[in-house]
Amino acid sequence: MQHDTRFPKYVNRKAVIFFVNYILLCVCSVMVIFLSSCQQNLDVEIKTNDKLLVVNGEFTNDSVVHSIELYCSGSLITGRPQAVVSGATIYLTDKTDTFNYIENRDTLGLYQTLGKCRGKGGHIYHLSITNIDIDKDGKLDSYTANSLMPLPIKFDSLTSKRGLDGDRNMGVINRAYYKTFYNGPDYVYPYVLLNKLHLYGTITDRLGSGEINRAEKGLIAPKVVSPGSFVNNFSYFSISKNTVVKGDTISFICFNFTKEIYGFLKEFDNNTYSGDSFQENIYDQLKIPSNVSTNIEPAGKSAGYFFVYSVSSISKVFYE
Amino acid sequence: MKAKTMRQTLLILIFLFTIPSTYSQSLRTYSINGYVQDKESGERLIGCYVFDPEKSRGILTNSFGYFNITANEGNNKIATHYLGYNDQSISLIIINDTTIIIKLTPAQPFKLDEVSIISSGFEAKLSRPQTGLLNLNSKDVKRLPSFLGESDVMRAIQVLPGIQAANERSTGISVRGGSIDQNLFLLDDAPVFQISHMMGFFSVFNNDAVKDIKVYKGDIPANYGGRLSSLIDIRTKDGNLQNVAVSGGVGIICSNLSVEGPIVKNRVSFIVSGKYSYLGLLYKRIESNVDLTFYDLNCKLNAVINNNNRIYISSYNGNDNSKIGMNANYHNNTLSMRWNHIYNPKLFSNVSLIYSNYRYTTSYSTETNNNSLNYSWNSGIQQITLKAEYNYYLNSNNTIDFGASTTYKNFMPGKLEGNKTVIDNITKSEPFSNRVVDEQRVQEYAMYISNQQKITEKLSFKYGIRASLYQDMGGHWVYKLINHQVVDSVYEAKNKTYANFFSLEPRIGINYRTSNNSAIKASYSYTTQQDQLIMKTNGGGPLDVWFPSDNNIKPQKSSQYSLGYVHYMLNNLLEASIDGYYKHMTDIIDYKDGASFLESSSVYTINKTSYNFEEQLRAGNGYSYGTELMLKSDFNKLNGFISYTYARSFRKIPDINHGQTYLSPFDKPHAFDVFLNYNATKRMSISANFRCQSGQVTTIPFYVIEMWGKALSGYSNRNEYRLPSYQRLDLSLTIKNKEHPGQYYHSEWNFSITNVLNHANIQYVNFVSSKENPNIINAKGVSMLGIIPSVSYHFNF
Repeated sequence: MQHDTRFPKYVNRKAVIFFVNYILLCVCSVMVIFLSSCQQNLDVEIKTNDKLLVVNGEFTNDSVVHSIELYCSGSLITGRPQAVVSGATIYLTDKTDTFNYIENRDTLGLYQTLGKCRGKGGHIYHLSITNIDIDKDGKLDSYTANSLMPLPIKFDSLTSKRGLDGDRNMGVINRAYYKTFYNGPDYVYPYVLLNKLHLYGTITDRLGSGEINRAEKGLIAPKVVSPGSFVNNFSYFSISKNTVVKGDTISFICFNFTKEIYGFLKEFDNNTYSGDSFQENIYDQLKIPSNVSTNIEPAGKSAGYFFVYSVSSISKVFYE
Repeated sequence: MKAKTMRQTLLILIFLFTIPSTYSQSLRTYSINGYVQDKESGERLIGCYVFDPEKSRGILTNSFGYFNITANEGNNKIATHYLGYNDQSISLIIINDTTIIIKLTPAQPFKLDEVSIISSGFEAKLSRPQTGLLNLNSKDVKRLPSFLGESDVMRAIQVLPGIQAANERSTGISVRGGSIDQNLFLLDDAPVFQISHMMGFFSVFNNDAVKDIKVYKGDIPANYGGRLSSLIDIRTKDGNLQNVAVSGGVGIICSNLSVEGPIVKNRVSFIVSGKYSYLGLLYKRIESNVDLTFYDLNCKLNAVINNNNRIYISSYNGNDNSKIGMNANYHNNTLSMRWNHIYNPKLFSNVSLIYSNYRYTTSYSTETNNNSLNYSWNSGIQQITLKAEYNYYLNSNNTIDFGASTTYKNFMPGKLEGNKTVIDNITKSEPFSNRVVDEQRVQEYAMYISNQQKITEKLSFKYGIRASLYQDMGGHWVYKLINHQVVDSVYEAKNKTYANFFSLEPRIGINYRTSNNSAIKASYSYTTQQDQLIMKTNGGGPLDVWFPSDNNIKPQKSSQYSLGYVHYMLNNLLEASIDGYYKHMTDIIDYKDGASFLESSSVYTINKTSYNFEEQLRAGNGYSYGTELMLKSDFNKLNGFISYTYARSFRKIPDINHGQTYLSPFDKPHAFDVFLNYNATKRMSISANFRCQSGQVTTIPFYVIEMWGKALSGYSNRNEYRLPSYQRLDLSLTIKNKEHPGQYYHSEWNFSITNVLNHANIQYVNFVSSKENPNIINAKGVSMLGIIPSVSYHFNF
């Protein structure tokens, strides 16, 4: 076979060709990597029906003027803010009593009962909101909510005396004794007032489940499963000694609410703890998106909550 | 009455089994058994159709190339059909049971001046009572346009009808609406738990080491179980028994090299095949904090002890290192030891000991004003299986498969380790190790029996049953959940069984030949899946967790009904088929609304014991249905297929989407595929692949409300929104270098363009606050692949 004169005799022709091919491949590879496009970000048009009725209201067994606020949800896509909903017809009934709400003329979107009224523990309240067209389809929409007002816990007595608390600090040790009944609350949210000023203290429920966390927004209340029976219980709280003096009024107040309200409050906290509902924390990015629950029907067209709960309280003037 | 019914059933079964053999006893019959192999390499050929051309009766070689057919005493003819090989016909005079080795010659390189046709084995397809089976080999994978210069097995499977990629950057697949964890991947019988490299761009299967790929879309044979949707059975090459052969390739992302050859000629052979990616080395030049490397290594030893015994030892070892923000390291390895034994011409056995291990570690570092936290998350799964499988060739009309297996599995769903440093008046660093989820162990037993029976020349049946027992073993804390909340926990003693799941899984198929070139097929299969996988993303990712079923999360079940029709035209070179299916699934799992994959409290709270992630899951029902149409050609110059699939997939799970039915993440109603390969000349071929399918579903935030001074965003219903449709056209040109006659060294260049149309296919959507107005959220779709040319060089000698 004749030697290829392009190459010196001692050079292997095939090896040279392979080497040249390899160099060409490397050059092409580098060019490809630098020239070719990779990740692109594109604007995506999203068309949605994003108008939901937002309800924020409460009804208790306190004799006060009760309020409900109505809004139309804002849009994340257009930046349209939440807007008030005016002109709605609202009433609340437990089939015994009916309470009508009237829109406040000075504050549109705020609806209030005609004068003071109160609910009764153990009753189911039905809320009706009509005469509004949230989604602007020309048809009037209606929304409802059904909620049980739990029977409030009933305080028997409140004892207060100086002594060492659980952390071995000197303070005023208090015990608020109460009974809870069938159709009572699933959770209680307790807080302490000293001379009508809100005061944080250590609160424990010794006869309950023992699970306490103020940040969890409630103590699990003992469950009464048989109608007609009740459970005795007490809540223990302490106040540091320098705060309380003779003649001060110590008040212990509990909001009594259902597990549905507790669930809503917990979900609301979890979804807004960063202060910004839009997740940047890695733990938020590792979550399945979900909507905070609501008791407003129809689901999917409404948000917010109508809180129906009862209030219990006991007060005592402190003597040394 | 019951006893009478049972006796009647037994009599009918005996009748069915014996009538054909009773008839044939008037002539003496013997077995012709043996192997079909490649003449040049000695490689055993899987799925080759061996038949008697005069009686049009035949059988496919099994997974080890073995066949057995029944012949009458006297003159007989045996013929073969196998894609890529010349047909062969052998004349034999049979006077007793005969063992033969049939050696097939690879088909000649394509000649322009001939109208020669490569046979497609249509006879096997028309007579086999099996629906939803797709068969590929490494040559089919190479014909497709390469992805970033690499011929990838999973990318080839993703273009087939009824199968879709979980997303563009993933090699995970959804088969007939099922999720990506419902597919069983076997590599030489060893399960592979993680099939992706480099965040999903490539699969772990090295195409140069692959011999045969079978994809069962739901109608899974009785000898397999444990997954609901599909079985992908991949067999690797055994190694050339006669000559040393080297092949390899160099591409822009990775290179590969395979060496195979005899250790003892015609007796013992080996194959070592490896692939390594150096993309990370190139990226380091641009961004030193980024790392992306992976490798695969397949090794196999094949020893022919004697005519009746053969041993295979095959292993796979793969590793991924990626560092983009979060560090991730995946490690995959399998080991299979198999012994083939022929007891007698009618009884073939395969006994296997199989080990499979998958482990990954992700680590992350975060720092706030006064604190820093470094942690790593470890998860993995290991299993050891001993199984025995038998093929009993009862007679020419009945082939019985039976066997049993036992498997020990060890799950490590999640372990958290790290350091927490508090920078305050005093800097204090505390190491911690939280068993976020305890290790769990499972013992599993399975038995099966099935028969493929030919009733008449036109009608054949396949029926079988698989029984399995899945036992959860103790040695860890077991949680009792009521209303998805942990209410109690018990420490179960090691080796004590605290939960048992027994299942019977019938598999039935029927095939009726309506004419010489068409057939109707139908099947029903019931499958269960006890190993569960929870994924953060639909395509899989670093936080995926394998865990066993237990009393809180029960095994998933599926019933699938299939009906199909296949018709061959133009000298059986054009295949038209239509397949329909309906699948109903129960106890499938999904994350509840608002579920968190990594509770922040488990990271920041030291001394916290196991946290039960089952509280985050919900189980319910799902169903899917669809129709797959395909037109496939096998002409010499032009081959490929056109397919259209209409498929829907839904779920209904309590506590998700208000308990209402919602779209499965894998619902894509329309998919249209075209794959064409044109052999322009002896040295040049062009291929094109086009896919157009419905967009991915997703859940989007679209409203905001304000309560108590705080803003709260709201989302659509689960998977309510559909992204724009997906389209991609890939082209490839292969040019073989000139060769002299008798030259041993062969090489070729491959030039590919991925996404020729540069269509931006959105993989997911990010929602970010607008810089101009923070109250506006801009939806930014992220597309991973633009137009990407690639070039690679391949050689073999």
